[in-house]
Amino acid sequence: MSDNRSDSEGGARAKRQKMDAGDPKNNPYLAHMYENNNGSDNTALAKFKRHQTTAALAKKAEDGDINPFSGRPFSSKYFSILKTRRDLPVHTQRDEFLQLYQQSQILVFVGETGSGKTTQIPQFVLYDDLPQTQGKMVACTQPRRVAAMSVAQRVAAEMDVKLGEEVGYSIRFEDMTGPKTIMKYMTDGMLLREAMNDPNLSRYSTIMLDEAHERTMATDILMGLLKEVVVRRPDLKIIIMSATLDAQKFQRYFMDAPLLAVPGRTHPVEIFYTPEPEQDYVEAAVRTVLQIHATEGEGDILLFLTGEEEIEDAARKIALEGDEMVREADAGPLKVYPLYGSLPPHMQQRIFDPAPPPRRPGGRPGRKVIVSTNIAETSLTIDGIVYVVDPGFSKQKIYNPRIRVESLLVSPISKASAQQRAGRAGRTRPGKCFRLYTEGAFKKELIESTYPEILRSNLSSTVLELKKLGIDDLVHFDLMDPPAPETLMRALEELNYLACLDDDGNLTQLGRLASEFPLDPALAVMLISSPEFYCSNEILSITALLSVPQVFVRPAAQRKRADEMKNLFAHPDGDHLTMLNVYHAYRSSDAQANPKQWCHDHFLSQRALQSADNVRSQLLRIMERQDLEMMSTDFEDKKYYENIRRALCAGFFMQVAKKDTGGKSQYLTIKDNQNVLLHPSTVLAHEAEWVLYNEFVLTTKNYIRTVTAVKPEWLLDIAPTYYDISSFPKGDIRSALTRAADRLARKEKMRAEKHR
Amino acid sequence: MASEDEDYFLPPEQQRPFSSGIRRKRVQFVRSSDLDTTTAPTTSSSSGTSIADKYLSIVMSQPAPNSSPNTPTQHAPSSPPIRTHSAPPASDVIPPPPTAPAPEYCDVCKLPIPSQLPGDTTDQRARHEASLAHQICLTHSHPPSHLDRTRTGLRYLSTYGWDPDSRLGLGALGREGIREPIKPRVKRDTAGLGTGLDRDGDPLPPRPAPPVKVQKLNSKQARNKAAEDKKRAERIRKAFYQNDEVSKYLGEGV
Repeated sequence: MSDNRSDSEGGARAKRQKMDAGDPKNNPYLAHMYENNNGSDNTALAKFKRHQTTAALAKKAEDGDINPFSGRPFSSKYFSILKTRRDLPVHTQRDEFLQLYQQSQILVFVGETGSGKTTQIPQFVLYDDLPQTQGKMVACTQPRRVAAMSVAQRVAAEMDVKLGEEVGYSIRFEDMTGPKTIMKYMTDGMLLREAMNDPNLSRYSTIMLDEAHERTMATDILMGLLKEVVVRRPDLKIIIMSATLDAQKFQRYFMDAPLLAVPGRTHPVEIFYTPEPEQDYVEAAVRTVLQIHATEGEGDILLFLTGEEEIEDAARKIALEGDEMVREADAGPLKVYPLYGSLPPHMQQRIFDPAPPPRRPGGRPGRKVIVSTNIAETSLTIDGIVYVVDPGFSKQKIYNPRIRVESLLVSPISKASAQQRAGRAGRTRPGKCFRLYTEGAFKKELIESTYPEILRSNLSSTVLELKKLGIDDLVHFDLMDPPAPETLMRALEELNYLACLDDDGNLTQLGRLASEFPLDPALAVMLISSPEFYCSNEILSITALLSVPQVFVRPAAQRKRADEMKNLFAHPDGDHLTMLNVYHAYRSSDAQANPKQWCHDHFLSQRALQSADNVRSQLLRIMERQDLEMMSTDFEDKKYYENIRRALCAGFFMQVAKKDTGGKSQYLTIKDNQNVLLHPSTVLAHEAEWVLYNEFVLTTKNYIRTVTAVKPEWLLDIAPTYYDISSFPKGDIRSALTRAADRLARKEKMRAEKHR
Repeated sequence: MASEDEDYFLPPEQQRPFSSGIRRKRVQFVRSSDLDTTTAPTTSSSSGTSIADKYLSIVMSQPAPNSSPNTPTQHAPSSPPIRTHSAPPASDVIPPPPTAPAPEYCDVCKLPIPSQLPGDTTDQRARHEASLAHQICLTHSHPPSHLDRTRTGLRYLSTYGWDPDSRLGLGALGREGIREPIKPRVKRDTAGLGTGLDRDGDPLPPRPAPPVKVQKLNSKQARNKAAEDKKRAERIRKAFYQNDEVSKYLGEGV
């Protein structure tokens, strides 16, 4: 989709300006610019009756000379795109779609990948719903930011309008819409945030939830919400778009809404299983790839693995053995590209490079191999893939409310996921999928479909959102897959400790304020209370840094050098302060002179720092709107860093670990009593008795990452209800807290005596 | 998914023995009488004697109600009451006497309740309700949920009508969700999918344990081991059978 940027746009505009010569007011095409264009009387849509149009009418309007939405003449590029659009599978069913759309308030639409649903259905709707006549908009949600952006761009080109005018997009930290916008692509999270301030979603006449089968948290909540909104707003139309055929589940959920299915444009894929389970799936995957290269015909290979390390390792092995095959067996050249989320964009782009040519004319054809995480399963479409190798695992987020740990674990995929992976082989021509497990394991070991995100996540920010949306009865809120009671209880308790909810579960002033921030409640609370600690500027920077990917880069080949560079910024009291030092250095004039070079020299990710900068300015705007004071302690003051560490406690007092009396650098998390180790990446110089952590990482060992040393006195002072000593069982932690409380009392007494 | 994990998180010392939840009141059993051996003609039994009787009745073409030397009526009084209902072998060969009134059927277990005989003073209905067959058919009351009742989160959910003991998840009526959070499983190796399963995806039988090597002890080790075993046995015996009152009466040393 992204390969179709309208590069002729500039040229087309130049031509248009020539035609505008003369008095523009006499130009009938520009009438909309001079009077209130509420009926679009001069355009092809004038005779259209809302919700009574047909495909033939729409076709006529599309074939006209003037763009009915912008009022400008169509460019030649438009007509060439129009021709390809008419070839898409959805086009043949336009009439059928319109009939169902007009008849019912909710419609479930199933279209396989490649049917053109994401780009075409919204345009079908525009020609029938005519939102501009109602002063409303059509919204189409996407689970991913990148998709919202690229689809909006594509549709703007297809409709021959400028992105950000009639067609726009809105994602977190970026709004690309204008007063003329009638078609808005947005992330599902953005629509949810809009619903918080506009519970009836009154700006929209039609809402489409695209990729609903992915069942993101925001889509699930939106579906529950829309089910209530449609009752209050009979004029609002809803379209649920999904790619898989478990659409009956959506139908049942939406009171037996009608269903329309459009076949995709896919080729058959032959599926192979192993006769016996594999002892080592990574090794088996590497062998399978080489085997395909040696024995199968032309076509690229897509291998699914779980994580960065595994992918890099496998890619290296395949490349080495591939070279050997070229030397010894005259095999075709093999090019291997890794692909994972944290890979820089220019490296990700390389996967679209064509396969290498044969080494000599007439030789064996070259082949490219893409070793990817499951981002190639749905989010990215790579043409030319004919072979898929599927070991049956992916990394999945899972939340355990009992120990309050959200972790990424290697888990078996679902049947639906396996089918999706296989489907990737049939994009351009018939393909093959090699599954590295037995057919029996496929049938009995794999669950039907992946658990929706809402069952696998910490719900504290969701509960805060729901409370802000006015949904108090969380027990009977009609979700497609309601979460486990314990998960919800944990979320309520966490919000209660953070003082976002009072003891009866009502939203407090702080909670209302926190819900304004597109952040985790703990981060939002930390940010809101930072002025009390005289360091809101610094906490704002730290919050921004915690909301973006890792800023430190550590290439495998230069680990030592990277660590040396990191030590330049190290603060003995912990990683949060180290990150702050990095940010301050990055903002200094020294670094800003040539930020790219500076980041490269210091092994920092410029992309992460840039987006931290962006996030910071967005959050700053919210803080200013909420009248939160921006301030800093004087840098020379010896309390400068201490204040920041105290402010960190205000948000993260529930993520604290105490050094275990037993082993070296062993820690025990407070209340949850999990044995953890400090992550090797920490810069903490001394063995702090109490540390606060940002993240609990479950890998081969339990690690806590991004830690900062704190004092128990601060915790007792800042979060007295959570650190209520009587609630702790007898033991090391309790006695340490008691000692801290005694110290605090003594100090208090001394101070009182001094004042007397 | 949840059903197999119901008691998963209950610590073993809190798990109650099987069937302790059926009735909070102790179930009383009474010795059976001859009358109890008859049940409804619909309940067939597959006990060996009755099949033999049936076979004989077909082959010999004459009813052989008491031909078997092992009729249940003879040994029933001495057998434990449990067997009264589970083994009524002669039932399909002994038709109910035509003059008897139609038996009253129990609503719960669909078994006939023996009619009150004139001279009998025991309440037949009460006796029936105490029978094991009836008890098994009663709706189970489940052990209460393991959730800590003092949690604020639970209080919130309760005010909106969620009952932790209801064995229902959250959500709209009739569309309740999962009851237990999804359990994370940490995978720390690169074993492929389905290792430990056979070709059809069924679990392989566990491998036979390697033969235990016989360890020879010298006399001192043997003595120590015997003492240790004895101590352990004593500890276990105390844990199960020690009665505080008895030990108080006998003194600590015993």
